[in-house]
Amino acid sequence: MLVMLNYFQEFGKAFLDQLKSLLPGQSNLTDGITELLDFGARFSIRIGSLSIPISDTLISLWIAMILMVILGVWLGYKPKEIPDKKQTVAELLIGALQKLCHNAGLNDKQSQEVVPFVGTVGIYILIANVISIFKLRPPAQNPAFPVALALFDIIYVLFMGFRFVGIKGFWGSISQPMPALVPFKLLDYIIKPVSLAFRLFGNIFGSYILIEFVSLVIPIALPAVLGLWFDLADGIIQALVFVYLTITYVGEIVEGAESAREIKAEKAKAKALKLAAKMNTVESTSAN
Amino acid sequence: MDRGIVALGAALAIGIAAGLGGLGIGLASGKAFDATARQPEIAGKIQSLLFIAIVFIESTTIYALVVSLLLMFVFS
Repeated sequence: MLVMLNYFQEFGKAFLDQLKSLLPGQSNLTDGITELLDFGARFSIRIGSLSIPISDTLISLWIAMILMVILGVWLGYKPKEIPDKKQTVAELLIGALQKLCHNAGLNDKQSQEVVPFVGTVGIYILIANVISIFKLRPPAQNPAFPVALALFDIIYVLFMGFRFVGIKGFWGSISQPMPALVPFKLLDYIIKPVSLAFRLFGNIFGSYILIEFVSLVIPIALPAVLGLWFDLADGIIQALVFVYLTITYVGEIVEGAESAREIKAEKAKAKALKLAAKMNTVESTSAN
Repeated sequence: MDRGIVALGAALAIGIAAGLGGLGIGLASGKAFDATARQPEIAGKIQSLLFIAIVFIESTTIYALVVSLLLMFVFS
């Protein structure tokens, strides 16, 4: 008992000392924070005259990629007629993604085409975010990663949109309420990747800075509890949001094209009816 | 640049954005709960719509967070 008390006393003393050293000058704290903001390369690989900088982000990404490949091979290894445990998990994942696609307005064939890419991106972002619980730098705290991902994503969305509904359908989807709004709808496709990239970057960067700041000031217990939310839950939510928005963007194009076609068909029908009515009146007047 | 002014700007940016974002999320989820109480059979659809709405509201707050972090670490 006495030993424990002594231990706590000593611990408290050391803790107070550390706090005191941090508070007045704050030079320690500022140095720590500026060190966090260093996105630069740790070392570089030389191939001939080309030198490739290797940063922390890249190393974290490689680890995430290796984990993802291992996970994918393990989940998809030798599928059976009667699914065992891991195959059930994989099928549940794919089923959930397909349900999301259905809710967004894609049909069976289209959702089967969209699910592989979307699932891969989702698991990639998930692993890349959750990796920060191992004290590695999450890749998304470097703006390059979210920006690249968002650009790739919007190109994929446009490509799939063209593939599902064709150029005519795409035009229908962007000129849907009235053709005067086309420039704004086109501007939307520039704003979408920016918002995707900012969302991922802001969330992960903010939580990373917060966690590191807390662990600089109070290095015990509190960072672990906070990390449960900011590293795990936030990372999972951001991956989910990215997947959800990608599916919604594709669904938006498909649904817009469909409703434009319906409106066109309705208009044609109304025109035909009008013409028929006119013919009828003409006939009746001539009969009279 | 003056450090104090920059700190004030960063605090104001994230403070106003977080307050208004919280207000927006509160309004949206309150309405969603009302709708769920009135029509419990479409609770799933309301939930997914609420999810999208909250994501969009939250993203504006995140922009403010990015701006205030930039102010704090880049301009000071």
